[in-house]
Amino acid sequence: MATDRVDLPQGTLDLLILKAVALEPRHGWAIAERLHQISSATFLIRQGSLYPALHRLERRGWIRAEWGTSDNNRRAKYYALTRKGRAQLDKETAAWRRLSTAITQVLESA
Amino acid sequence: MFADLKARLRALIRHSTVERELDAELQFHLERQIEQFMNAGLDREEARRRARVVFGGLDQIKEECRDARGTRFVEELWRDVHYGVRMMRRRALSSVAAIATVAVGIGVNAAVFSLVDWVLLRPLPYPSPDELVKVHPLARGAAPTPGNLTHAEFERASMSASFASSVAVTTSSRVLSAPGIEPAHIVVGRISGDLFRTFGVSPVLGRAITAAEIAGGLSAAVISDDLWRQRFLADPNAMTRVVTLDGRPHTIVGVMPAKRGYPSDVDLWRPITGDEREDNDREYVMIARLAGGATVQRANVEYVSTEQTPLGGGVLLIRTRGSVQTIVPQLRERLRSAAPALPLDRIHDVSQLLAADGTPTRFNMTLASAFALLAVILAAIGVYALTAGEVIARWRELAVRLALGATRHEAFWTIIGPSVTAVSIGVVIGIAASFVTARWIQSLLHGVGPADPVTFIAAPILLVIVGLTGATAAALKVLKADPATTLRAE
Repeated sequence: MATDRVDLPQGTLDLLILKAVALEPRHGWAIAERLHQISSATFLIRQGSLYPALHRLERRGWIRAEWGTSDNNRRAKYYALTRKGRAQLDKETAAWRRLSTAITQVLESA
Repeated sequence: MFADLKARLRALIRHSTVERELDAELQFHLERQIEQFMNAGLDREEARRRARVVFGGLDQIKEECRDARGTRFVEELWRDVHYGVRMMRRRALSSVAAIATVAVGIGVNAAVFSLVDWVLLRPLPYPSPDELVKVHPLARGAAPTPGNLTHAEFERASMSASFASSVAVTTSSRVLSAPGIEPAHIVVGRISGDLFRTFGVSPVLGRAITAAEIAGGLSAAVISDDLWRQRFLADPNAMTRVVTLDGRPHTIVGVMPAKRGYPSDVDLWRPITGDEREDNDREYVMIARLAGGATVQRANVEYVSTEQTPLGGGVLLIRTRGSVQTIVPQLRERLRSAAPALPLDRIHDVSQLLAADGTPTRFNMTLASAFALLAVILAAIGVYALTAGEVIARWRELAVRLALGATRHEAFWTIIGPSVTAVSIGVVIGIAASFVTARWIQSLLHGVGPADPVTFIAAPILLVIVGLTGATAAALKVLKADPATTLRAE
Protein backbone atom coordinates (compact mmCIF):
# COMPACT_ATOMS: atom_id res chain seq x y z
CA MET A 1 0.00 0.00 0.00
CA ALA A 2 2.62 2.47 1.07
CA THR A 3 4.70 1.66 -2.00
CA ASP A 4 1.92 3.05 -4.22
CA ARG A 5 2.45 6.52 -2.81
CA VAL A 6 4.53 9.05 -4.74
CA ASP A 7 6.51 12.06 -3.60
CA LEU A 8 5.14 15.36 -4.78
CA PRO A 9 7.14 16.99 -7.58
CA GLN A 10 9.00 20.04 -6.38
CA GLY A 11 6.80 23.11 -6.13
CA THR A 12 3.46 21.40 -6.61
CA LEU A 13 2.53 21.50 -2.92
CA ASP A 14 1.90 25.24 -3.25
CA LEU A 15 -0.44 24.66 -6.15
CA LEU A 16 -2.38 21.98 -4.25
CA ILE A 17 -2.74 24.20 -1.18
CA LEU A 18 -4.04 27.11 -3.27
CA LYS A 19 -6.55 24.76 -4.85
CA ALA A 20 -7.61 23.36 -1.47
CA VAL A 21 -8.50 26.79 -0.10
CA ALA A 22 -10.01 28.07 -3.36
CA LEU A 23 -13.58 27.11 -2.48
CA GLU A 24 -13.68 28.16 1.15
CA PRO A 25 -11.33 29.12 3.99
CA ARG A 26 -9.81 26.04 5.62
CA HIS A 27 -7.48 25.37 8.52
CA GLY A 28 -4.29 23.34 8.17
CA TRP A 29 -5.82 20.07 9.33
CA ALA A 30 -8.73 20.42 6.90
CA ILE A 31 -6.32 21.17 4.05
CA ALA A 32 -4.30 18.06 4.89
CA GLU A 33 -7.47 15.97 5.03
CA ARG A 34 -8.75 17.38 1.77
CA LEU A 35 -5.50 16.69 -0.08
CA HIS A 36 -5.48 13.19 1.34
CA GLN A 37 -9.07 12.51 0.26
CA ILE A 38 -9.19 14.00 -3.21
CA SER A 39 -5.87 12.52 -4.19
CA SER A 40 -7.13 9.16 -2.99
CA ALA A 41 -4.15 9.05 -0.66
CA THR A 42 -1.72 9.01 -3.57
CA PHE A 43 0.64 11.69 -2.32
CA LEU A 44 3.20 11.12 0.31
CA ILE A 45 2.99 14.39 2.18
CA ARG A 46 4.53 14.66 5.60
CA GLN A 47 1.70 16.52 7.32
CA GLY A 48 3.96 18.93 9.09
CA SER A 49 5.50 20.17 5.86
CA LEU A 50 2.18 21.76 5.05
CA TYR A 51 2.75 24.52 7.60
CA PRO A 52 5.98 26.06 6.32
CA ALA A 53 4.33 26.12 2.90
CA LEU A 54 1.24 27.83 4.32
CA HIS A 55 3.37 30.48 6.03
CA ARG A 56 5.34 31.08 2.86
CA LEU A 57 2.19 31.51 0.80
CA GLU A 58 0.79 33.88 3.40
CA ARG A 59 3.94 35.97 3.24
CA ARG A 60 3.63 36.18 -0.52
CA GLY A 61 0.10 37.47 -0.09
CA TRP A 62 -1.54 34.58 -1.96
CA ILE A 63 -3.48 33.40 1.08
CA ARG A 64 -4.71 35.30 4.10
CA ALA A 65 -4.87 33.82 7.62
CA GLU A 66 -7.55 34.49 10.19
CA TRP A 67 -8.29 32.89 13.54
CA GLY A 68 -11.76 31.36 13.74
CA THR A 69 -13.69 28.65 15.54
CA SER A 70 -13.57 25.13 14.17
CA ASP A 71 -16.49 22.71 13.85
CA ASN A 72 -15.56 21.11 17.18
CA ASN A 73 -15.59 24.54 18.80
CA ARG A 74 -11.84 25.12 19.06
CA ARG A 75 -9.77 28.06 17.89
CA ALA A 76 -8.11 27.36 14.56
CA LYS A 77 -6.21 29.37 11.99
CA TYR A 78 -8.16 29.54 8.73
CA TYR A 79 -6.52 30.26 5.42
CA ALA A 80 -8.42 31.91 2.55
CA LEU A 81 -7.37 32.57 -1.03
CA THR A 82 -6.66 36.25 -1.82
CA ARG A 83 -7.28 37.87 -5.19
CA LYS A 84 -3.58 37.68 -5.90
CA GLY A 85 -3.65 34.03 -4.85
CA ARG A 86 -6.46 33.28 -7.27
CA ALA A 87 -4.50 34.79 -10.13
CA GLN A 88 -1.52 32.70 -9.09
CA LEU A 89 -3.67 29.55 -8.90
CA ASP A 90 -4.95 30.16 -12.46
CA LYS A 91 -1.44 30.74 -13.71
CA GLU A 92 0.00 27.67 -12.03
CA THR A 93 -2.93 25.47 -13.06
CA ALA A 94 -2.45 26.45 -16.70
CA ALA A 95 1.28 25.86 -16.46
CA TRP A 96 0.75 22.47 -14.82
CA ARG A 97 -1.71 21.44 -17.55
CA ARG A 98 0.74 22.38 -20.28
CA LEU A 99 3.51 20.52 -18.51
CA SER A 100 1.55 17.34 -17.87
CA THR A 101 0.21 17.29 -21.44
CA ALA A 102 3.71 17.65 -22.77
CA ILE A 103 5.04 14.92 -20.50
CA THR A 104 2.18 12.60 -21.45
CA GLN A 105 2.85 13.23 -25.14
CA VAL A 106 6.52 12.45 -24.75
CA LEU A 107 5.78 9.29 -22.81
CA GLU A 108 3.18 8.06 -25.29
CA SER A 109 5.22 8.78 -28.38
CA ALA A 110 7.72 6.10 -27.61
CA MET B 1 5.55 42.99 -1.91
CA PHE B 2 3.46 44.82 0.67
CA ALA B 3 2.07 41.57 2.12
CA ASP B 4 5.60 40.28 2.39
CA LEU B 5 6.86 43.33 4.27
CA LYS B 6 3.82 43.32 6.54
CA ALA B 7 4.30 39.64 7.39
CA ARG B 8 8.00 40.10 8.09
CA LEU B 9 7.45 43.16 10.24
CA ARG B 10 4.74 41.40 12.22
CA ALA B 11 7.02 38.41 12.77
CA LEU B 12 9.71 40.74 14.10
CA ILE B 13 7.69 43.18 16.15
CA ARG B 14 5.16 40.75 17.59
CA HIS B 15 7.63 37.92 17.81
CA SER B 16 6.16 36.20 20.87
CA THR B 17 2.57 36.45 19.57
CA VAL B 18 3.64 34.92 16.28
CA GLU B 19 5.45 32.13 18.13
CA ARG B 20 2.39 31.45 20.34
CA GLU B 21 0.17 31.31 17.28
CA LEU B 22 2.51 28.83 15.63
CA ASP B 23 2.36 26.59 18.71
CA ALA B 24 -1.43 26.81 18.83
CA GLU B 25 -1.78 26.08 15.14
CA LEU B 26 0.44 22.98 15.19
CA GLN B 27 -1.12 21.79 18.45
CA PHE B 28 -4.58 22.04 16.91
CA HIS B 29 -3.46 19.85 14.03
CA LEU B 30 -1.92 17.24 16.34
CA GLU B 31 -5.03 17.12 18.53
CA ARG B 32 -7.22 16.48 15.50
CA GLN B 33 -4.91 13.71 14.34
CA ILE B 34 -4.91 12.13 17.80
CA GLU B 35 -8.71 12.26 17.89
CA GLN B 36 -8.85 10.61 14.50
CA PHE B 37 -6.56 7.79 15.60
CA MET B 38 -8.55 7.35 18.83
CA ASN B 39 -11.79 7.17 16.86
CA ALA B 40 -10.13 4.41 14.88
CA GLY B 41 -9.69 2.47 18.12
CA LEU B 42 -6.18 3.36 19.36
CA ASP B 43 -5.62 4.28 23.00
CA ARG B 44 -4.59 7.86 23.73
CA GLU B 45 -0.89 7.13 24.21
CA GLU B 46 -0.57 5.17 20.98
CA ALA B 47 -2.67 7.73 19.11
CA ARG B 48 -0.37 10.50 20.32
CA ARG B 49 2.72 8.56 19.29
CA ARG B 50 1.36 7.81 15.82
CA ALA B 51 0.21 11.41 15.34
CA ARG B 52 3.74 12.61 16.03
CA VAL B 53 5.16 10.19 13.49
CA VAL B 54 2.70 11.19 10.79
CA PHE B 55 3.21 14.85 11.50
CA GLY B 56 7.00 14.79 11.49
CA GLY B 57 9.46 16.36 13.95
CA LEU B 58 7.67 19.22 15.67
CA ASP B 59 10.79 21.28 16.36
CA GLN B 60 12.07 20.87 12.86
CA ILE B 61 8.73 21.98 11.40
CA LYS B 62 8.69 25.01 13.67
CA GLU B 63 12.16 25.90 12.43
CA GLU B 64 11.00 25.57 8.84
CA CYS B 65 8.02 27.83 9.59
CA ARG B 66 10.38 30.41 11.08
CA ASP B 67 12.48 30.19 7.94
CA ALA B 68 9.34 30.77 5.89
CA ARG B 69 8.73 34.01 7.77
CA GLY B 70 11.90 35.47 6.26
CA THR B 71 13.14 37.06 9.50
CA ARG B 72 15.63 34.43 10.48
CA PHE B 73 18.76 36.52 10.19
CA VAL B 74 17.37 39.38 12.27
CA GLU B 75 15.99 36.99 14.87
CA GLU B 76 19.31 35.23 15.31
CA LEU B 77 21.19 38.50 15.49
CA TRP B 78 18.76 39.69 18.12
CA ARG B 79 19.20 36.45 20.08
CA ASP B 80 22.98 36.78 19.96
CA VAL B 81 22.91 40.41 21.08
CA HIS B 82 20.49 39.50 23.82
CA TYR B 83 22.79 36.73 25.00
CA GLY B 84 25.78 39.04 24.79
CA VAL B 85 24.05 41.68 26.92
CA ARG B 86 23.08 39.06 29.51
CA MET B 87 26.66 37.81 29.73
CA MET B 88 27.92 41.39 29.97
CA ARG B 89 25.62 42.08 32.88
CA ARG B 90 27.07 39.11 34.66
CA ARG B 91 30.56 40.58 34.27
CA ALA B 92 29.52 44.20 34.43
CA LEU B 93 32.83 45.72 35.49
CA SER B 94 35.00 44.38 32.69
CA SER B 95 32.24 45.05 30.16
CA VAL B 96 31.89 48.66 31.25
CA ALA B 97 35.67 48.99 31.10
CA ALA B 98 35.75 47.63 27.55
CA ILE B 99 32.90 49.88 26.43
CA ALA B 100 34.43 52.97 28.05
CA THR B 101 37.90 52.25 26.66
CA VAL B 102 36.61 51.96 23.13
CA ALA B 103 34.31 54.97 23.45
CA VAL B 104 36.93 57.28 24.98
CA GLY B 105 39.59 56.15 22.52
CA ILE B 106 37.37 56.95 19.58
CA GLY B 107 36.03 60.19 21.03
CA VAL B 108 39.41 61.70 21.97
CA ASN B 109 40.93 60.72 18.68
CA ALA B 110 38.14 62.26 16.64
CA ALA B 111 38.14 65.48 18.65
CA VAL B 112 41.88 66.04 18.45
CA PHE B 113 42.14 65.12 14.82
CA SER B 114 39.32 67.40 13.75
CA LEU B 115 41.19 70.20 15.49
CA VAL B 116 44.53 69.27 13.93
CA ASP B 117 42.88 68.82 10.59
CA TRP B 118 41.59 72.36 10.81
CA VAL B 119 44.79 73.97 12.04
CA LEU B 120 47.41 72.09 10.09
CA LEU B 121 46.27 69.76 7.46
CA ARG B 122 43.79 71.85 5.56
CA PRO B 123 45.82 74.40 3.60
CA LEU B 124 44.43 77.74 2.50
CA PRO B 125 42.62 77.32 -0.80
CA TYR B 126 45.22 79.35 -2.69
CA PRO B 127 48.36 78.47 -4.62
CA SER B 128 51.55 78.44 -2.46
CA PRO B 129 49.64 79.31 0.71
CA ASP B 130 52.91 79.38 2.68
CA GLU B 131 53.85 82.60 0.95
CA LEU B 132 50.78 84.43 2.21
CA VAL B 133 51.22 86.61 5.28
CA LYS B 134 48.98 88.97 7.14
CA VAL B 135 50.62 92.26 7.98
CA HIS B 136 49.88 93.96 11.27
CA PRO B 137 50.89 97.42 12.42
CA LEU B 138 53.01 97.81 15.52
CA ALA B 139 50.84 99.43 18.12
CA ARG B 140 52.67 102.30 19.69
CA GLY B 141 54.14 101.62 23.04
CA ALA B 142 52.78 98.15 23.52
CA ALA B 143 53.46 94.69 22.26
CA PRO B 144 52.13 94.40 18.73
CA THR B 145 48.51 93.36 18.57
CA PRO B 146 46.85 92.04 15.45
CA GLY B 147 45.08 95.03 13.98
CA ASN B 148 44.28 97.06 10.92
CA LEU B 149 46.26 99.58 8.95
CA THR B 150 45.47 102.94 7.47
CA HIS B 151 45.70 103.17 3.71
CA ALA B 152 48.87 105.24 3.94
CA GLU B 153 50.50 102.57 6.11
CA PHE B 154 49.46 99.91 3.63
CA GLU B 155 50.98 101.81 0.75
CA ARG B 156 54.28 102.14 2.50
CA ALA B 157 54.34 98.54 3.71
CA SER B 158 53.44 97.27 0.26
CA MET B 159 56.64 98.74 -1.13
CA SER B 160 58.74 96.35 0.93
CA ALA B 161 60.99 94.20 -1.23
CA SER B 162 59.87 91.21 0.83
CA PHE B 163 56.45 91.28 -0.79
CA ALA B 164 55.83 90.16 -4.34
CA SER B 165 52.37 91.67 -4.17
CA SER B 166 49.91 92.74 -1.54
CA VAL B 167 46.35 93.81 -1.06
CA ALA B 168 44.47 95.89 1.48
CA VAL B 169 40.83 95.20 1.96
CA THR B 170 38.10 96.55 4.17
CA THR B 171 34.53 95.40 4.24
CA SER B 172 31.21 97.03 4.90
CA SER B 173 27.55 96.31 4.28
CA ARG B 174 26.04 98.23 1.36
CA VAL B 175 22.80 98.21 -0.57
CA LEU B 176 22.99 96.74 -4.03
CA SER B 177 20.36 97.47 -6.64
CA ALA B 178 20.06 96.95 -10.35
CA PRO B 179 17.24 96.89 -12.88
CA GLY B 180 15.30 93.67 -12.39
CA ILE B 181 16.97 92.87 -9.07
CA GLU B 182 15.49 93.52 -5.68
CA PRO B 183 17.66 95.84 -3.59
CA ALA B 184 19.64 93.83 -1.04
CA HIS B 185 22.22 94.34 1.66
CA ILE B 186 25.48 92.81 0.57
CA VAL B 187 29.01 92.73 1.94
CA VAL B 188 31.27 94.93 -0.14
CA GLY B 189 35.04 94.53 -0.04
CA ARG B 190 36.85 97.73 -0.94
CA ILE B 191 40.29 96.86 -2.21
CA SER B 192 43.57 98.53 -2.90
CA GLY B 193 46.64 96.76 -4.25
CA ASP B 194 46.33 93.51 -6.18
CA LEU B 195 43.80 91.08 -4.74
CA PHE B 196 44.08 88.67 -7.65
CA ARG B 197 47.83 88.38 -7.92
CA THR B 198 48.30 88.21 -4.15
CA PHE B 199 45.93 85.29 -3.74
CA GLY B 200 46.73 83.75 -7.10
CA VAL B 201 43.10 83.55 -8.16
CA SER B 202 41.47 84.81 -11.28
CA PRO B 203 37.78 85.28 -12.02
CA VAL B 204 35.98 82.25 -13.47
CA LEU B 205 34.00 84.57 -15.68
CA GLY B 206 35.01 87.92 -17.06
CA ARG B 207 38.23 89.55 -15.89
CA ALA B 208 39.96 90.86 -12.79
CA ILE B 209 39.89 94.48 -11.71
CA THR B 210 42.92 96.10 -13.37
CA ALA B 211 45.68 98.07 -11.70
CA ALA B 212 44.53 101.13 -13.61
CA GLU B 213 41.01 100.76 -12.25
CA ILE B 214 42.37 100.41 -8.72
CA ALA B 215 44.64 103.40 -9.10
CA GLY B 216 41.92 105.52 -10.68
CA GLY B 217 39.23 104.41 -8.23
CA LEU B 218 37.11 103.39 -11.20
CA SER B 219 33.78 101.75 -10.62
CA ALA B 220 34.53 98.21 -11.80
CA ALA B 221 33.34 95.35 -9.61
CA VAL B 222 33.95 91.61 -9.27
CA ILE B 223 31.17 89.63 -7.63
CA SER B 224 31.25 86.37 -5.64
CA ASP B 225 30.04 83.10 -7.04
CA ASP B 226 27.23 83.09 -4.45
CA LEU B 227 25.99 86.54 -5.40
CA TRP B 228 26.18 85.66 -9.09
CA ARG B 229 24.09 82.53 -8.58
CA GLN B 230 21.59 83.99 -6.11
CA ARG B 231 20.99 87.49 -7.48
CA PHE B 232 21.93 87.10 -11.11
CA LEU B 233 20.69 83.49 -11.45
CA ALA B 234 24.06 82.47 -12.88
CA ASP B 235 23.44 84.61 -15.93
CA PRO B 236 26.59 84.53 -18.13
CA ASN B 237 25.64 87.99 -19.35
CA ALA B 238 25.85 89.40 -15.82
CA MET B 239 29.23 90.71 -16.96
CA THR B 240 28.98 94.29 -18.16
CA ARG B 241 25.77 94.80 -16.22
CA VAL B 242 25.62 98.01 -14.31
CA VAL B 243 24.64 97.80 -10.65
CA THR B 244 24.12 100.58 -8.18
CA LEU B 245 25.91 100.55 -4.83
CA ASP B 246 24.62 103.23 -2.48
CA GLY B 247 23.66 105.37 -5.43
CA ARG B 248 26.90 104.95 -7.41
CA PRO B 249 26.90 102.90 -10.61
CA HIS B 250 29.40 100.06 -10.93
CA THR B 251 30.05 97.76 -13.87
CA ILE B 252 30.44 94.05 -13.11
CA VAL B 253 33.56 92.83 -14.85
CA GLY B 254 34.05 89.36 -13.38
CA VAL B 255 32.91 86.52 -11.11
CA MET B 256 35.19 85.07 -8.40
CA PRO B 257 35.58 81.28 -8.22
CA ALA B 258 33.44 79.73 -5.47
CA LYS B 259 35.04 79.79 -1.99
CA ARG B 260 38.19 81.53 -3.23
CA GLY B 261 37.31 85.12 -2.46
CA TYR B 262 38.97 86.95 0.42
CA PRO B 263 37.49 87.73 2.89
CA SER B 264 35.17 84.77 2.40
CA ASP B 265 31.99 86.66 3.32
CA VAL B 266 32.40 89.35 0.66
CA ASP B 267 29.79 89.47 -2.10
CA LEU B 268 31.36 92.19 -4.23
CA TRP B 269 34.85 93.68 -4.56
CA ARG B 270 35.44 97.16 -5.88
CA PRO B 271 38.45 99.52 -5.91
CA ILE B 272 38.59 102.08 -3.15
CA THR B 273 37.67 105.58 -4.28
CA GLY B 274 39.96 108.58 -4.24
CA ASP B 275 38.23 109.93 -1.16
CA GLU B 276 38.59 106.68 0.71
CA ARG B 277 42.27 106.67 -0.22
CA GLU B 278 42.69 109.98 1.56
CA ASP B 279 40.89 108.86 4.73
CA ASN B 280 43.10 108.11 7.65
CA ASP B 281 40.80 105.34 8.93
CA ARG B 282 42.57 102.41 10.42
CA GLU B 283 40.41 99.82 8.72
CA TYR B 284 42.49 97.90 6.19
CA VAL B 285 43.51 94.27 6.52
CA MET B 286 46.72 93.75 4.62
CA ILE B 287 47.60 90.42 3.06
CA ALA B 288 50.86 90.06 1.22
CA ARG B 289 52.55 87.37 -0.80
CA LEU B 290 56.20 87.00 0.11
CA ALA B 291 58.67 87.50 -2.70
CA GLY B 292 60.92 84.58 -3.62
CA GLY B 293 63.43 83.91 -0.85
CA ALA B 294 61.74 86.27 1.60
CA THR B 295 60.90 84.94 5.04
CA VAL B 296 58.36 86.06 7.56
CA GLN B 297 61.19 87.05 9.90
CA ARG B 298 62.83 89.33 7.37
CA ALA B 299 59.53 90.86 6.31
CA ASN B 300 58.73 91.57 9.92
CA VAL B 301 62.03 93.25 10.60
CA GLU B 302 61.75 95.44 7.53
CA TYR B 303 58.24 96.32 8.40
CA VAL B 304 59.25 97.31 11.90
CA SER B 305 62.07 99.47 10.60
CA THR B 306 60.07 101.26 7.96
CA GLU B 307 56.62 101.48 9.40
CA GLN B 308 57.07 102.97 12.80
CA THR B 309 58.30 106.21 11.31
CA PRO B 310 54.95 107.74 10.29
CA LEU B 311 53.55 106.97 13.73
CA GLY B 312 55.69 109.77 15.05
CA GLY B 313 58.92 108.13 16.05
CA GLY B 314 61.84 106.12 14.91
CA VAL B 315 62.78 102.54 15.34
CA LEU B 316 66.26 101.44 16.00
CA LEU B 317 67.00 97.79 15.40
CA ILE B 318 69.77 96.44 17.55
CA ARG B 319 71.29 93.02 17.46
CA THR B 320 72.28 91.93 20.95
CA ARG B 321 74.31 89.17 22.47
CA GLY B 322 72.49 87.51 25.33
CA SER B 323 69.13 88.52 26.76
CA VAL B 324 67.47 91.71 25.55
CA GLN B 325 66.12 92.67 28.96
CA THR B 326 69.52 92.71 30.66
CA ILE B 327 70.91 95.32 28.31
CA VAL B 328 67.84 97.58 28.35
CA PRO B 329 69.06 99.97 31.13
CA GLN B 330 72.47 100.13 29.50
CA LEU B 331 70.87 100.86 26.17
CA ARG B 332 68.75 103.67 27.54
CA GLU B 333 71.80 105.18 29.14
CA ARG B 334 73.81 105.10 25.93
CA LEU B 335 70.99 106.49 23.82
CA ARG B 336 70.30 109.27 26.21
CA SER B 337 73.92 110.35 26.23
CA ALA B 338 74.19 110.07 22.44
CA ALA B 339 70.96 111.93 21.64
CA PRO B 340 69.41 113.61 24.67
CA ALA B 341 66.56 115.09 22.59
CA LEU B 342 65.38 111.71 21.29
CA PRO B 343 62.27 110.48 23.09
CA LEU B 344 62.67 106.80 23.83
CA ASP B 345 59.51 104.85 24.14
CA ARG B 346 59.61 101.12 24.54
CA ILE B 347 62.02 98.38 23.77
CA HIS B 348 60.74 95.15 22.25
CA ASP B 349 62.28 91.86 21.50
CA VAL B 350 61.68 91.03 17.82
CA SER B 351 61.05 87.41 18.66
CA GLN B 352 58.31 88.67 20.97
CA LEU B 353 56.73 90.44 18.00
CA LEU B 354 56.89 87.27 15.97
CA ALA B 355 55.28 85.16 18.69
CA ALA B 356 52.38 87.54 19.08
CA ASP B 357 50.37 85.91 16.36
CA GLY B 358 47.56 84.06 18.10
CA THR B 359 47.41 80.87 16.05
CA PRO B 360 48.49 77.62 17.67
CA THR B 361 51.89 76.55 16.51
CA ARG B 362 52.68 73.52 14.47
CA PHE B 363 54.51 72.11 17.46
CA ASN B 364 51.46 72.32 19.70
CA MET B 365 49.38 70.61 17.11
CA THR B 366 51.94 67.88 16.52
CA LEU B 367 52.03 67.30 20.23
CA ALA B 368 48.24 67.10 20.38
CA SER B 369 48.23 64.60 17.51
CA ALA B 370 50.83 62.50 19.26
CA PHE B 371 48.68 62.41 22.39
CA ALA B 372 45.61 61.48 20.36
CA LEU B 373 47.52 58.68 18.72
CA LEU B 374 48.75 57.57 22.11
CA ALA B 375 45.16 57.59 23.38
CA VAL B 376 44.13 55.29 20.54
CA ILE B 377 47.09 52.96 21.11
CA LEU B 378 46.35 52.78 24.84
CA ALA B 379 42.70 52.16 24.06
CA ALA B 380 43.72 49.40 21.65
CA ILE B 381 45.94 47.73 24.25
CA GLY B 382 43.18 48.04 26.84
CA VAL B 383 40.58 46.59 24.52
CA TYR B 384 42.86 43.71 23.57
CA ALA B 385 43.48 42.88 27.22
CA LEU B 386 39.82 43.16 28.17
CA THR B 387 38.42 41.09 25.32
CA ALA B 388 41.08 38.42 25.67
CA GLY B 389 40.60 38.43 29.45
CA GLU B 390 36.87 38.09 29.04
CA VAL B 391 37.30 34.97 26.92
CA ILE B 392 39.93 33.42 29.22
CA ALA B 393 37.64 34.04 32.19
CA ARG B 394 35.08 31.84 30.50
CA TRP B 395 37.50 29.04 29.77
CA ARG B 396 35.59 26.59 31.91
CA GLU B 397 32.25 27.47 30.39
CA LEU B 398 33.74 26.81 26.98
CA ALA B 399 35.10 23.47 28.12
CA VAL B 400 31.68 22.50 29.48
CA ARG B 401 30.02 23.46 26.22
CA LEU B 402 32.51 21.41 24.21
CA ALA B 403 32.14 18.45 26.58
CA LEU B 404 28.36 18.66 26.13
CA GLY B 405 28.80 18.32 22.39
CA ALA B 406 28.75 21.87 21.07
CA THR B 407 30.74 22.15 17.85
CA ARG B 408 33.92 24.25 18.02
CA HIS B 409 32.29 26.70 15.65
CA GLU B 410 29.24 27.19 17.90
CA ALA B 411 31.33 27.38 21.06
CA PHE B 412 33.62 29.96 19.44
CA TRP B 413 30.79 32.33 18.61
CA THR B 414 29.15 31.91 21.99
CA ILE B 415 32.36 32.64 23.81
CA ILE B 416 33.36 35.77 21.90
CA GLY B 417 29.77 37.08 21.71
CA PRO B 418 29.94 39.29 24.84
CA SER B 419 33.23 40.85 23.73
CA VAL B 420 31.83 41.61 20.30
CA THR B 421 28.75 43.15 21.89
CA ALA B 422 30.79 45.27 24.31
CA VAL B 423 33.11 46.55 21.58
CA SER B 424 30.11 47.31 19.33
CA ILE B 425 28.38 49.31 22.05
CA GLY B 426 31.64 51.17 22.71
CA VAL B 427 31.99 51.99 19.03
CA VAL B 428 28.45 53.35 18.83
CA ILE B 429 28.94 55.51 21.93
CA GLY B 430 32.38 56.62 20.72
CA ILE B 431 31.12 57.69 17.31
CA ALA B 432 28.22 59.55 18.89
CA ALA B 433 30.68 61.27 21.26
CA SER B 434 32.92 62.16 18.31
CA PHE B 435 30.10 63.98 16.60
CA VAL B 436 29.21 65.82 19.77
CA THR B 437 32.81 66.92 20.43
CA ALA B 438 33.33 67.86 16.79
CA ARG B 439 30.20 70.01 16.96
CA TRP B 440 31.47 71.58 20.12
CA ILE B 441 34.86 72.41 18.62
CA GLN B 442 33.07 73.75 15.58
CA SER B 443 31.07 76.12 17.77
CA LEU B 444 34.27 77.34 19.47
CA LEU B 445 36.36 77.86 16.37
CA HIS B 446 35.03 79.54 13.32
CA GLY B 447 35.62 77.61 10.15
CA VAL B 448 36.20 74.09 11.50
CA GLY B 449 34.17 71.84 9.29
CA PRO B 450 32.93 68.46 10.40
CA ALA B 451 36.15 66.45 10.34
CA ASP B 452 37.02 64.30 7.53
CA PRO B 453 35.15 60.96 7.57
CA VAL B 454 38.42 59.03 7.50
CA THR B 455 39.24 60.37 10.97
CA PHE B 456 35.89 59.24 12.25
CA ILE B 457 36.12 55.78 10.78
CA ALA B 458 39.79 54.86 11.16
CA ALA B 459 39.90 54.75 14.97
CA PRO B 460 36.67 52.73 15.39
CA ILE B 461 37.83 50.24 12.75
CA LEU B 462 41.22 49.87 14.44
CA LEU B 463 39.62 49.29 17.84
CA VAL B 464 37.10 46.81 16.46
CA ILE B 465 39.86 44.86 14.73
CA VAL B 466 42.04 44.87 17.84
CA GLY B 467 39.10 43.92 20.08
CA LEU B 468 38.05 41.04 17.86
CA THR B 469 41.63 39.89 17.45
CA GLY B 470 42.02 39.79 21.24
CA ALA B 471 38.86 37.78 21.71
CA THR B 472 39.59 35.49 18.77
CA ALA B 473 43.19 34.81 19.73
CA ALA B 474 42.16 33.90 23.25
CA ALA B 475 39.21 31.81 22.07
CA LEU B 476 41.38 29.86 19.62
CA LYS B 477 43.90 29.17 22.35
CA VAL B 478 41.12 27.98 24.65
CA LEU B 479 39.62 25.84 21.89
CA LYS B 480 42.95 24.12 21.26
CA ALA B 481 43.06 22.90 24.84
CA ASP B 482 41.42 19.57 25.58
CA PRO B 483 38.12 20.26 27.39
CA ALA B 484 38.57 17.21 29.62
CA THR B 485 41.96 18.48 30.86
CA THR B 486 40.52 21.91 31.52
CA LEU B 487 37.61 20.50 33.50
CA ARG B 488 39.84 18.20 35.52
CA ALA B 489 42.23 21.04 36.27
CA GLU B 490 39.65 22.82 38.45
